[in-house]
Amino acid sequence: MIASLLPLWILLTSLVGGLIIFALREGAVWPRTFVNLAAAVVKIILVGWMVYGVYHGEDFAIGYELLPGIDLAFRADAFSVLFLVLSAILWLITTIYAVGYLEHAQNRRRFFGFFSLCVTATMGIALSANLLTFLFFYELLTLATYPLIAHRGTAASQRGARIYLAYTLFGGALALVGTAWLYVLTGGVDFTTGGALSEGVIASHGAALMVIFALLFFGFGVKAAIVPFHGWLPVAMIAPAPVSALLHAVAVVKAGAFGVVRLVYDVYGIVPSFEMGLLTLVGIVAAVTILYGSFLALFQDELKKRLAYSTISQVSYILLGTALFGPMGTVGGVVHLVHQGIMKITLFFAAGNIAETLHIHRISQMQGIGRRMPLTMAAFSVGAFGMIGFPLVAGFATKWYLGLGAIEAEAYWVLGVLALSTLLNAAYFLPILYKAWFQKPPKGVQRPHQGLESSGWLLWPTVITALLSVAAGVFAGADHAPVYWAMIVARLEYGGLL
Amino acid sequence: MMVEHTPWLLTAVPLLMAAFAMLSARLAPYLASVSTLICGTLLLQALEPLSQETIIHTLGGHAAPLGIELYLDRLSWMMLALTWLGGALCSLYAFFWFRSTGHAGVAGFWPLWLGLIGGMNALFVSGDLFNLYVALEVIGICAVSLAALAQSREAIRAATNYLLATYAASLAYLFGVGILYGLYGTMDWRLLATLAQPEAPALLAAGLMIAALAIKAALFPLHFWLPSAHATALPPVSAILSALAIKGAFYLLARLYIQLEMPGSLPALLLGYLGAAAILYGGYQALMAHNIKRIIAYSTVAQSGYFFLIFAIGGAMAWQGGFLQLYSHIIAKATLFFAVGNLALAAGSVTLEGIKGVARAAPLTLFGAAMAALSIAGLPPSGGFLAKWLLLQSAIEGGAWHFVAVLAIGGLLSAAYLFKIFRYALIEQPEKRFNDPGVWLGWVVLLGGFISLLFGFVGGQSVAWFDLSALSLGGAS
Repeated sequence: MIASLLPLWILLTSLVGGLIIFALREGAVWPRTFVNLAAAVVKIILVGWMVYGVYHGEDFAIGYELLPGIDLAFRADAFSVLFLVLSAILWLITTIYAVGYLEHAQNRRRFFGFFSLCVTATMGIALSANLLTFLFFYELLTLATYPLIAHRGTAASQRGARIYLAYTLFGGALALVGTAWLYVLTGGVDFTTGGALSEGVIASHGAALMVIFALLFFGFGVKAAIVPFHGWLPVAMIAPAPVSALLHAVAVVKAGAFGVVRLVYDVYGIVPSFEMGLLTLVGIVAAVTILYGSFLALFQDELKKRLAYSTISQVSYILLGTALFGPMGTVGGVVHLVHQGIMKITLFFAAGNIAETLHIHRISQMQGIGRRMPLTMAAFSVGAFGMIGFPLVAGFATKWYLGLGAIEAEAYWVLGVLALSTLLNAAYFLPILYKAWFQKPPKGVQRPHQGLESSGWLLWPTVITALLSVAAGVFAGADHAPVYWAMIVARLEYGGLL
Repeated sequence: MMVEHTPWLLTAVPLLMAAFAMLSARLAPYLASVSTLICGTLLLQALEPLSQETIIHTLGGHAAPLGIELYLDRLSWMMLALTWLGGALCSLYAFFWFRSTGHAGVAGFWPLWLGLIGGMNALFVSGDLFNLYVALEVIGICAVSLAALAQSREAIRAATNYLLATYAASLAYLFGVGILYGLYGTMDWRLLATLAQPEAPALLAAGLMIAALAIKAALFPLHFWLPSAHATALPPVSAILSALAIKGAFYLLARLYIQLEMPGSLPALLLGYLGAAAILYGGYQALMAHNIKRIIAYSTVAQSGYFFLIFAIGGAMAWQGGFLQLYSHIIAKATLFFAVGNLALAAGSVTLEGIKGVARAAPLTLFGAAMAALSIAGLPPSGGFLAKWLLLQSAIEGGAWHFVAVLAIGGLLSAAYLFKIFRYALIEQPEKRFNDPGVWLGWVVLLGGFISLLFGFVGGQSVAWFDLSALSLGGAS
């Protein structure tokens, strides 16, 4: 009983935690921090239990009939597990970071309450067993994130949040129409490895299925910030650093990418998607987004903005891997869901720490910052090298498998995209590292603290995620590394074909 | 044995309490609670027998066509139950609102409000066109008088317009009833359904009655009286008018639609297209408004459009979606008007500029309102989402792509106009001072929002209770 309801407990830990936080007084700092951390730790334990179960072939599935014949249903498979583990671990780390970051801020009750709701929605997305459930939590995520982006209440953050909401609600409307349409054609879409559509439906509704795919792809793509729906992401940068970190690494953009992967693998199926030419659409959009995002990143002087454009580009690696017909491409795409998460969160943590400690927001002010905050900048460098695809950091594994996937699918143009993108990554990250490590700080500037370079609340999470990024790269071949689980996903999807 | 008396008791009890409430303003809220408790018990008792059959009560023991029969079937029960729930919420809010403001309208409020409940309950169980006329009149008179309680110049003017509109509609309706009585010698509509022929006078009568009900249900472009009347009334009254009063007329139209076997007919299509126009027009007007009460009032025009869509889309699923929307709207709209009332108390203003920063003073209110807003915008988890899903599916199934577009755009418009309220409320204004609207008023909003959210999970379980085929089969008995 307890085990079979595990998906529900995983959702409830953060939901109940969030509600308790809303009920606590604003001034109750320690009780709130305790609830926050306790919920996050319990969630990690529960997720660990689920990973163990899924690995040993246990089937965690529960459902509730929302409308006649239409269920709100949860289920855990290998792909859910990847996203769950990523979210659960990064939630704990981000919570620690956020407690330090918001030490003197206002409205912390509201912040942490919605923060927990946001995680609940993300968990719901990871555990969705069908398209309607996914949509349900996808919309919930939109709404739970809005107050976080608008948190500071200034005109700029209001504007950023408004633009975010306009984009994502528009995407949600596209996805809703697509989902309803698909349900009318099929009577229900349970996520199924290899595709949920019957041959009869594919044969008789070919044209409609193309339109539905476009509706769902662009609907989910809005959150994954694909061109031309990427405009919200740089302006949403106005949010507090932990929110940006969460937005870029785990919750929002990943929800979109997760949706697209589910759409291709578990709704349409990789073979029908390939045969209907839908992978080409995904591949082209992903390639354009990768290059365009990286290109625009070159021109940003504001550090967080540059990271934002970098995110636009990096998230589309997941889509690119999905678009490559073959298991290696799948491994590269799916594993990047995790790799991009831990690397990008490191970068944002570091940027936030620099902004909090030294009040430096622009790259042009970053001379010699490596001497003033060596650990933070070291973590940042790890993230940057990973994004470029340097060996021994997680990003290398991604690019390696994407390259293999491109060769396997005989899509050699993808190798060109990867090479060009790597050059662009280097071009926008290396100047930052050069400035930070090799240029001298302006005269008269000292290290901010005698002891630690900054508050430990901000520093240690940054260091930990940097170490995770290295571990995921160095031990990419180990059992239970992200790559290992991505292989399981690929093996299941291509099971009949290999 | 008790159960067969349920139909008339549901009307008699609130009306009796209304009469007592006129005698003592101080006791009135308690009389309202008694009425609510009794009606709730009656409804619960009727639940079990209704799963098998329709409850029929013959007044004075004379069967139709000579006597008057009252019918209570599953659809009426759902309407009664939701009116009960929405009404209980409104009573709760009204009690705390009058207590905290000490507004002089309280003396008139309780008798009129109880009268309105009695009228609505009568309407849901009447099976006789003249009885229905009387019920509509009671609802109309009580609603107009409630609207006038605010006593400001604008409120009086708006209530006068409301009065004229509702009277014109009543006359047209009565004229239609007269024609039908002259033709067929009965006013029992289940008998009429078997007797009526598609002849010119009967069609004229049906047209008059449909137009009359469309005015009372505020269907675009006959909604002209609604925005001002609902926006100028006292907050508890706005909630009552928007959430409940207009639903009676729509319910009658839906009954006519079944009894006259209208699916696919020209008037049904016309109603559906006007509903679609209402969604877009009401949404646009709400988006352009600066007064938050007007935003919510125009939202009612738009949201009512969704109910009317079912006439054009047709089919069981659309029907379920339309009624789910109706039920969800009762709770969500009442909650939003409560919230607007609280914001007005806190900020002393009902303009968007005026409520800037009010979030600090009314967090409970805003949180509850956000939950209700989900339903209006058709976002999960809410009854509104389930309703929109059913309507979308039925529109797609029928190939009605223009309605699919209307549903999608309508949802975005509602999200946009509701969002404006939250956006202004959340703009930080550190130097501004607000009043405290009182914690109880906030809790009522939170309760309403919670129920609205709950509908998103349990609403779907109820759709079997208004399935179309069972209703049309329950004809002449």
